Amino acid sequence: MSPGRAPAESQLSIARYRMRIAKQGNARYLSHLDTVRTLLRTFRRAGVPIALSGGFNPQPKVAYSTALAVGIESEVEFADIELVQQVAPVVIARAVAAELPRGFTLKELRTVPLRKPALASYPAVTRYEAAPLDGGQAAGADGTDPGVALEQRVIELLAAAELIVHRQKDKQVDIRPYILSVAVTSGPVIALELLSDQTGAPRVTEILTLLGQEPAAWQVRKTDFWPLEKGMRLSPWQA
Amino acid sequence: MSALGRAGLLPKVAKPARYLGEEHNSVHKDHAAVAVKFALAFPDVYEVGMSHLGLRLLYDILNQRPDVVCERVFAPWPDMADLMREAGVPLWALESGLPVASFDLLGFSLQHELNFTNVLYTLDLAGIPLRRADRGPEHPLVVGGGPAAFNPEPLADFFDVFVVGDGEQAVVQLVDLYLACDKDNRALLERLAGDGGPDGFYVPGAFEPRYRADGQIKEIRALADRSSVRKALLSDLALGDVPVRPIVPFLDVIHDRVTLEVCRGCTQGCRFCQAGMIYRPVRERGADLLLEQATSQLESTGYDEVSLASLSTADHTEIRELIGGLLSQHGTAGIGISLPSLRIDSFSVDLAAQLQEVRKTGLTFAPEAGTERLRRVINKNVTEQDLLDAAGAAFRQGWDSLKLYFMIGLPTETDEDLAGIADLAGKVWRLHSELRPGRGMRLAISCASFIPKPHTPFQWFGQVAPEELQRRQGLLRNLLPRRVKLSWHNVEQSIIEAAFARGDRRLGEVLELAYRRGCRFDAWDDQFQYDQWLAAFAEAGLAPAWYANRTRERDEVLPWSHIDSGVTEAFLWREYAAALRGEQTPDCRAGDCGACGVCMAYGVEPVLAAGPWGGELR
Repeated sequence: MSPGRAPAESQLSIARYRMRIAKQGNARYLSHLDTVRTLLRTFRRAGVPIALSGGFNPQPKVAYSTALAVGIESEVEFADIELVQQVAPVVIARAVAAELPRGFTLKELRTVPLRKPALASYPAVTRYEAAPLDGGQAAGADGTDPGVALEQRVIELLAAAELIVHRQKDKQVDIRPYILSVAVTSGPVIALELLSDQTGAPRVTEILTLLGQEPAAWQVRKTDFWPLEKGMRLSPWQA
Repeated sequence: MSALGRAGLLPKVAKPARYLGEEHNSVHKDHAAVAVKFALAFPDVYEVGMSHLGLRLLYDILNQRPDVVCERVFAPWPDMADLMREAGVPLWALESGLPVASFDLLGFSLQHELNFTNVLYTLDLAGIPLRRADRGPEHPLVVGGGPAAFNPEPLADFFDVFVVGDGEQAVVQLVDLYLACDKDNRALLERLAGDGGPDGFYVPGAFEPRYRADGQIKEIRALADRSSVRKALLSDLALGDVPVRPIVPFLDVIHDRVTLEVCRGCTQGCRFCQAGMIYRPVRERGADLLLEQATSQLESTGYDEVSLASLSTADHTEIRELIGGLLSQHGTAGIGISLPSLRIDSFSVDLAAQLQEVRKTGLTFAPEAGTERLRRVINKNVTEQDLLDAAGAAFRQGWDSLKLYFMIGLPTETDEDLAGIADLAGKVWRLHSELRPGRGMRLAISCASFIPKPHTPFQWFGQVAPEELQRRQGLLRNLLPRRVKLSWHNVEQSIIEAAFARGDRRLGEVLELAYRRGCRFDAWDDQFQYDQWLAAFAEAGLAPAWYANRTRERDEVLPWSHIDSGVTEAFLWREYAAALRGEQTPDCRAGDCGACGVCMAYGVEPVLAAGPWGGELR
């Protein structure tokens, strides 16, 4: 459709850096694509010399961890960038931190080996915490301890052999195998550890619904993320 | 309270990022520390509003002042509006989350008539009385600007004042006068309506139309000293600031890139084009200034694309220098450059081909009409050979996909002109097979329904009736081979747009009735409710056809006759007559002055980057 020209050659990556970014406040309402676009523009403003891929439409060599659902805050979003030159991590960190928009905070930045699979390609365990937006008032309005009622629902949930949820196009999925643990602590705060792999992943909103909750009434935070290698949890910095 | 309200609603709507205000380069100020709070509203959804350059210009100019805070307001999508009404949360401004009603001034950008119900929708959601007569000193002063302010009569009952013409200086004058009047709305309006005030302020309450028995306007009586309103004119774009740090939206908005306005106004003189008439004279920014602006905006945003916007970018006298400079300074960094409007010639194709080195984009030409005869009528002076030369140049450069824009229902159009569109399409197709044998071609044709607009030579012309427009669309579909993709505008939306484009003050009632019947987002095909519009017209005892389809006589008092674009009515009438005779009027760029009147009226000349009246032409 457009002029035939030789594809550009891929630029040589000299170093790879991984950063952990927190996404908080209203930034949780950005979709994964919005977030990706926002971070890419942040890196460009920061003047980080990101290597470009080859081809007719060269793309910056940037990779992200698995997509985070809209509405969820996170302590553990990861972005990998490949640069055309070595730069001291602290220099990159300072430049990126200064350009991140409100709601995004750079928490850590380290050099990682060039030839390793992208974080998003690992099966992984993700830990979430959900707290009621109104501080638990609505849930406890009838005078009962909301935590106790919730705990009962959790016990029932975990006892189920399968948990069928309905997704788009009449697709039915059993999410029980992906639920590793659900625990209720005071607050009430629901802590979940969920498995994700190439076959799928459960959504926190689905589990809240199964627990008889209105998902919009809960504030959810992603607190930890472990890539899995042969079933073992790795640190995201080792993966 | 409303900031909390917003927090409660965000988890429940589609695309909550429409309602945040924390994008990079957004400006947040303490309301207690400023003298004037200015809310700038765009009566459409965020993704549309944030694509509009004028809004960004004014936001920047107002926020540069330490004594002013300017915040943005967009029309919430109906899912959000329903939740707001249910929860009793009034509309907020994005940056602070504070109620729109708490601002001193509320400015609306009026781009086209199908946004009008969304003005009422925005006021209503903000808890501000729709009609100015029902508002008091406790309410914001409601201001309108943009191309639709050149005939704002259907909105006259809802606005306190309109800014007609270039907004850069006018908005500053407005704030200054507002402060000079001790923030007293009534005193400000009196001052603006009186003699000796600055150009460009139309106070609808200072004029009163009277009607004849047959429904036409008898006279538009001036109640204050000023008998007509001349548009505000920025004599040189170098005087108009552009944002050094434009907002970078989180959402994927329609125009999501650095936009440089390389020039305002156009010398081509197309007779259907309102922008080409109301933004006269042409004013180019110099290539050096534009290069500076591109660099600073790319650095402050992190965008990877620059768009060179204007009505006819290839006409810019320093376009080669500009593109060469952009390519040498930013091309290696993977920055793309786009030309939104291509002139139909091989020069333009060469420019586009130069840009393809960096980024792939489609190629679009706008012949507007299918035969040379009809193109002479509209003064779009391109020959069939020009188009085939341009298409041939594109195919030789390697393009296999082309989009052509046409209009249906232009004055004097016959079935032969529609056959001309099919004929052109066929020739372009064969040319491609010849030049690019064995390669597939994609040809898309887009047909808008012609809408006669005020302040153009066709302002007297009655729009072709809806049934006939539909017949012509069907005819064209039958004439074109199936492999040519054809798209067209919804005729029903065109009728409403046409009625309001040349409407008078009585349409305010129709507008309010339509809004009360649930009309809003009328530019959105899936939201537009024609039956409700017809019911609103009927209830008001008015007919859309009387406004849309009726051809006016020379001596009829047009509803916008007290609004002066600088282009004289005598010139427009001469152009209309020349159109009906099929005569061309030359481009005034080469010094061939058509005496439209604007340069004389303002004592200005076209501003061409390569020197007055000149430089290198094409």
